[in-house]
Formats: sequence, C-alpha cells, structure tokens
Amino acid sequence: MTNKMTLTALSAATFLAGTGAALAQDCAEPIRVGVLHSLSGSMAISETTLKDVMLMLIETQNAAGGLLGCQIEPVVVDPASDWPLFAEKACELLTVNEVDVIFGNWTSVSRKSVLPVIEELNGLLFYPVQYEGEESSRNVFYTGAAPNQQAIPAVDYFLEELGVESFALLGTDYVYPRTTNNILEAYLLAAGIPPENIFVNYTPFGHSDWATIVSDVVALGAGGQQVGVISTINGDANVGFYKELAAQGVSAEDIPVVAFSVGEEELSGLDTSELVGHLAAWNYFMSADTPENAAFIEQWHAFAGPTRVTNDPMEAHYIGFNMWVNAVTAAGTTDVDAVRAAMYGQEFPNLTGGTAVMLPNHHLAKPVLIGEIRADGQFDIISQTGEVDGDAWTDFLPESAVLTSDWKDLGCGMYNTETATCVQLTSNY
Amino acid sequence: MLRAILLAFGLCLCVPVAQAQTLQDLLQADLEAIADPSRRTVGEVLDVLVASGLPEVPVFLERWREKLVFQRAADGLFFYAVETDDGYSLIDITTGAEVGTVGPRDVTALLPNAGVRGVIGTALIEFQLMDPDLVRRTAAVDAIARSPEPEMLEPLRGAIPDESDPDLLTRKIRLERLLSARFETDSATRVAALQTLATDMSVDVRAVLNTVLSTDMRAGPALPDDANIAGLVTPGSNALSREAAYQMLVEAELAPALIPVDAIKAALIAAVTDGQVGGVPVATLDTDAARAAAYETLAATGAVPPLVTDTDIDASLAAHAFWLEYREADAAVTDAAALALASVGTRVAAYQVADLTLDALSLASIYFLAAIGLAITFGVMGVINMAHGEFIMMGAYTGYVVQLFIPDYTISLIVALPLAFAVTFGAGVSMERLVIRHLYHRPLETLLATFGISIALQQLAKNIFGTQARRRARSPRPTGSAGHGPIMTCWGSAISASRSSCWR
Repeated sequence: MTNKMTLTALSAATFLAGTGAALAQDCAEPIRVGVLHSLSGSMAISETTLKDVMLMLIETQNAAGGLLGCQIEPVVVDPASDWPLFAEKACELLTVNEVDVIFGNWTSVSRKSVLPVIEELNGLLFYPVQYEGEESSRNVFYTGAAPNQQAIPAVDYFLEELGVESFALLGTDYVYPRTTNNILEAYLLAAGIPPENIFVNYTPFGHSDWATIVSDVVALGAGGQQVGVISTINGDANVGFYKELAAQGVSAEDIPVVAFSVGEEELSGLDTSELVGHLAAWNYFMSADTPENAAFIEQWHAFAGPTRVTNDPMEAHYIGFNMWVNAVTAAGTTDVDAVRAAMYGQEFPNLTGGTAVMLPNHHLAKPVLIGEIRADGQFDIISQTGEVDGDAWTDFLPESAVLTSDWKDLGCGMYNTETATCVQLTSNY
Repeated sequence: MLRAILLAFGLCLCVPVAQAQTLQDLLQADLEAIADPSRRTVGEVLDVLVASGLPEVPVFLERWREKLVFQRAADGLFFYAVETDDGYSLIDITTGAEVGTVGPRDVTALLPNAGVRGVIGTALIEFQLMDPDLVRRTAAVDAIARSPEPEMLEPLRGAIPDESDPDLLTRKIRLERLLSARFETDSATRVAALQTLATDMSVDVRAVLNTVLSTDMRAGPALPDDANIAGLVTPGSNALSREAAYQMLVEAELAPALIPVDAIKAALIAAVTDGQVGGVPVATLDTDAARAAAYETLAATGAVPPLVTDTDIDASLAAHAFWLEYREADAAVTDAAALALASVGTRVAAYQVADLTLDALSLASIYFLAAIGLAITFGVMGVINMAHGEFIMMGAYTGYVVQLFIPDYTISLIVALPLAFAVTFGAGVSMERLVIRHLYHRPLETLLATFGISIALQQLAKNIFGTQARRRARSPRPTGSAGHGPIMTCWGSAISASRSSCWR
C-alpha cells in the first residue's frame, strides 16, 4: 500500500517536474529590464514617477504574455541623484544583474556618466528626457526631445507670438543648460537680438535663494523692452524660483517664463495659483485630448492611484518600451546589436494623435507642443505642430552644423559631411 | 407718383436689414482670427468688434480673455458655457439666455495665449476705465501699465477725478505721470512730469526714461545745428568701430564702397587678354599685393571703380562727423529726462551700497556670534564643542517651527527669540549633564564625544525636517521701492540665523 502510494506520488512528481521543465524550456533565461532612475536626492521629484511607469509598462506586457515567451523581470536600482553612482549602478546592472536593456537617466550629466560604461559593455539605454543634443551614441536611443524639437520652437514662439526682445536664459549648472543656452544664444544673435539683451545665469542643483536673480531679470526691462525667461532649471530649484517670481509680483503676462524641465509632475508638488499663465514646451501634455491618451491615463490611475499625473518623459518611456518590445520580437532575440538593427524605422503611435518614428540617428520624430499652466496644475495646449525629426547635431553652432548621425547606413554617430569621414565612434563624455 | 412712393417705401425697408449685424455675425465673418488667434493679427478683428458699438462686445472680450468662450464643433458658432455634470450648458452671447446642453466633446474651448490676452486687455481699456466694478478698473490700469500707448493718456486723465479707491487713485496718478513723460505733446507739461520721476527708483520709471532718451547713430558731413544731439562718437572707439563707421558712410553714399577680394579677382579675370592683365602676366598674380597692383592699373584706365586704401578711409572718417542723435527732438525734454535718469541712477547705486553693507554686517555678525560662543565655551570650560554649529541650527529650526504654528510673522519672531534661547539652553544643559560632566580635563575625549553628538543632531534634523532647505518667511515687503527690503532682511537674519542649511 505504502509502496503503491509512494510510487504514485513519485510518478506524479516526476510528471509535474517534466512539464515544469518543458514549460521552462520555452524561456531559457528571463528577460531583465533595468530601471536606472533616482529615487532619492534632488532629482527624485522628477524621476520617481518614471520608475513607476516602467513597472506599469512591464506589468502590462507580462499580462499580455511577456516577451519571446518569457516574463520580463524589472531590476530597479537607486543612483540617488549622484552622478558617479549612476555609472556604478549601470555597470552593476549590466555585469551583475545582466539586464538586456536599461531605461533610465534624467539629467544629462548622469547620462554622460553612464555613456562610457554602456559603450564599453555594449549595453542599451533608452533615454526619455529632453536634452541638449550634440550626441548620438551607438548604445543610446533618445526618446526625448532634441533642441530643435523643444528649445528652438519655444524661442520662435517667444520672438513671434509674444514679441519678447530681451531674453534671460536661466539654467542649472551642468551640461544640458550650458549646451542648450549656447545653441539658443547663437540662434538669438542670428535672429537679430543684440548681445546686451541676452542675460545668462547658472545656479547649482537645489539652489533656493532666487531673490537677486529674479530682481536682475526684472531689471532687464529697464530699457523698455519686453522681457522673457527661458528656464532650463532642473529639479527642486524650480520650487524656489517660481515662489520668488510670485513674491515679487511678476505675473506671466508681465514676464513670460517658458520652462523645458517643468511638467505636470513638478507642478503637482507646487502651489500653482501663482504660476498660472507661465509656459512649458514639451512633446506631450496630460491634457491632450485623444483616445490613446485617455486610455493611458486610465491605466496609469488604476496602477498608481487616481491623483497621479502623467508627463512627457513618461510618454517617452511608453513609446521607447513598446518600440523595444516590437524590435525584440522582430529580431527574435534580446541581443543588443540585433535589436538595434530592428529599431530603425520602428513606428509606434504616440499619445497626442500622431505616430512616433525611430530615425537612424537614434532620435524620434515628435510634435512640438507649447502649454500654459492652469490653476489645477495641468496645461492648456496653445500651440501644436506636426512631427518634427529630431536633429542630434544642431544647425545653429558652426562646429555641429557640418556633423550628421546615421547609424543605419553610415554606421557613424558623428559623421563630418564636409570631409566625408567619421569623426569618432564613441561619444564625447 | 404712387410708384415713386412705393419705391421709396421699399428702399426704406431694405436698408435696416443690412445694419442688423449681431455679435455672432461679426465673429463668424472672421472665424480664423477668433478660433486660432495670433498676437500680431488679432488687433484687426478687435478693432472691428469695438467699432461696431454693440453693448455685448465688452462682455464678450472679457469672457474671451478669461477662456470662457466655447465654439460648437457642429456649426462653428460661439457660446458661453457653464459646466454641468455630463457636458456643458450653452449660453447665447447676445441675449445671455440658455440655448441648450451639449456633451463635453461637442464644444472646444477658445484658449488665447498670453500675447493675445494682452491685446484684448488693451482693447478693453476704454470700456473698463470708468467701470463701477473695482476689479475691472484695476484690470484696465494693469493693461495700460503693461503696454502704454499715446491714446490712453487722455482717457486716463479723465478717469482720475472720480476715482473712489485710494490705492487705485495713487496708481492712476503715477501711471498718468509715466504716460505724460512719454507721450505728452506739450513740452512744459512733459518736462514737469519728468522732473517728478527723479525720485522714483522702480524699473518701469527707468524704462520710460530710457525710452525717452533712446538714440540713433548718424553720420554726415558736419554736425547739424537743429538736431537734438546726445553726444559725438569717435570712429575707432568702443561705441563705433572703424569698419562700422566707414560702412555707415558708404550706406549714406558719402564715401565709395570698399572693393571685396572676390570682386578684385572677378574684375581681373574679366580683363585677362593674352595671358596678361594690363601688361602684367597672369602667372605673377598669385599674391594679394600683386593682384591689388594689377587692379590699380585697371582702375587708372577707368574700367573699374578704384580701390579704397586705408589712407582713403582715414581721410573720409576725418572729413565727416559721427554723432548720437536723440529720437526725441525737444531738447528740454531730453535734458529733463537725462537729469532724472542720473538722479535715479545715483539713488539706485546708493541703495545698492547700503544693501551690500547691511548684508555684509548681517553675515559677519552671524559668524562672529558663532565664533564668540565657541571661544567662550573653550576658554571658560576647556571643552572643544564640535556640536556648536548644530546648536545654532537648533535655534534656527526653533524659529522655523514657531513660524509653522504662529502665522503672524512679527509675533512669531517675538516668541521665537526667547524660545530659541530656552531650547538651546536646555540642550546645552542636558549635553553637559549627560556627557561633558564625565569628561572634564579630557579634551580629546570631549572632542570625540561632541563630534558624535554633532553627527547625531544633524541626522536628527534631517529625519525630522527633511533634506531641503527651509525658508524662514520674511515679512511681506512693500513693492516698488528697494529701500526697505534690505533693512528688514538684515534684522530677520541677524536674529534667527535663517540659513540652517549651512550647518548640514
């Protein structure tokens, strides 16, 4: 009796183990996706929500059957707004956790820290945030806006629509504001704005004492011209800046401020009653009235709670993740080089009613939207263009105007069109 | 006869129909400019609306500026709308009566941007300046201040005598002076207005003065007698480079144009005959100097315009005058404006000096207090207190916490002052009783112990208050004058070391 039961039990166990092994054979190794966003420190205000949206996207994909028959496993690390730690964590993700792709970074200095690591280890990074251009790495897909998809159209809007004659370029002190302001200064000078009407100022991360700077900006109008502020201030320094503007009684109709790094997430932690009328330039706003956006917001609220907002970098991750899933499916493998080749020409509908296309320079075609802040922390979309191709090397700086990037046909991210040679295959760190 | 009467009667009936244009008709006539306006083009449609004289126009312009106008997608008609549970309730723009309800997707809101809203605000001024509602009058004055124009001067003057609100009256008087300084046609009144501005240091006054004093650079054979000259300009100075000065003369056709290198080459190429140019073999024309010499021979024959040498340029520049001319022709006005601007400039500089001095005193006194405390502790007790900074931080955070409970800034300051003393006194006593007492005559151990306490206090503060810097709110500053700000800042800072983030 006991022997029979043991025998049955054993055979049952072997049978289950057999089927278990058979199931496991469909997925030789789980697919791991690394999430490299700051969850503490000065950039946590902006980056924590990107980690959450990645978890939602992975969960949705797993519920739909996973990828290549495997479930996707998210690997979340916290680089704590510490730029060298970003490089360490990227290395850890690629060597210890052996992830197949990384979705991460916000500040350009964090991306520059990570570049040497992923270029050496041949990793793959999807970078969702608007940035300064002047880069096209083999191992990075830039799903955020290049300057010609955000900064330049916003300056055009200031010049033509709002009639601004005096510009204050305020930024946090690191590579993104510095490079963007170089480009914008060259653009403004070419547009005929005299140099004495351009005021440039940089502040450290987390800077909270804005009284002097805002007074200087107001004093720019002492010559009688209309003043406008182009803000590349990142992180929680924005809190103090907008508070100081309100404290000095500067309304959006006196001095318009267009910010490139302030979205719905940053506004949700601020008292927006004094910010009404100020501007932001992005490729997506939560208030976009399309069925795709409504579905995405519903899904997000079900995942994260009804009070959470969506913003442009989240849409960039949405597009980037879905394009990566499609590329992996097309390539049949998560091998970085095969996936890269499958990414060129990938199309995926964006959330504002158009289609995002991945170009050979690793940038997307994105529409340019300009929004005005409302009292409830959302944006009124006051201007929307069609899809604009991202340009990695700006046409407004002479040394970049001759460069082009084409990884598909030329196999080079920094190709000099005048000398017809590839300048270098790695990026500038 | 009867036919004539009937014809006249018929004509009389026809004419009124053409005049019965409603607001809706006017808007539909220029749909694009209303639905998708641009700051540059919206002025035309606004002129049409204002000129129509319809009583609904001011209300419509106000609602449009506040983004309360909606357009029905089906027929493109405009309505006001009130949000209901399942959509919008539409209101007719002429009668104000409810027309019907629609779903949320059937109407789109008109969203004019800030530039367009500014232009609408300007158009509304004439309606709102004498409005019985204070909010509307204030909005009108704001709109004038934002973009002043000469046509607003008289209406503003007319709106001053009957103004009942004292704050708005002061603003109107001040604004009238600013507009008068810029746009008044009568010289004496304008000069008087400029003289009253000499004591006002705010940015908009300086903007007005700078606009009145704006200049153009001019060049000519001699200094004109009848123009309002701001000053002479020497070519070759910082204000005007030699090249720019000569370019000005060329554009005014007072001097021959420079011949660029390409034109020299082109002229030489055109004149090549039998491998020579003017007797010089082409092969020798490989330097700029050789080419210039060949060009000179060509010019001597009159075939091409002559080269302009440096000596020629110098001679031209010396023979002409360069000056800055005021755009404002009246010299009395520009003199008064220059005096006022100089006076304002001196005041601003004086206040900046005072501000810097007080800031320096304030910061120095904080460091001085801290240093004295540390020195006394060491001198009297022989204890090196590494936690001295954290004690100061405790005092600062006490002030912050008191401010959280007592909203009135002055009272919170009065309460925080003794309370900070008491809190840090208590902390000092407890540190002495618990730690230092056991470590007298052992300076290295007290150093180590107080260092540990310092770290513990820092982390305690980080856990309780978070890592962001906390502002101790300052009393609201009066707007407009820069004078009182620095003094109040100084006292606030000196009393309760508000820069707690220093000590992290």
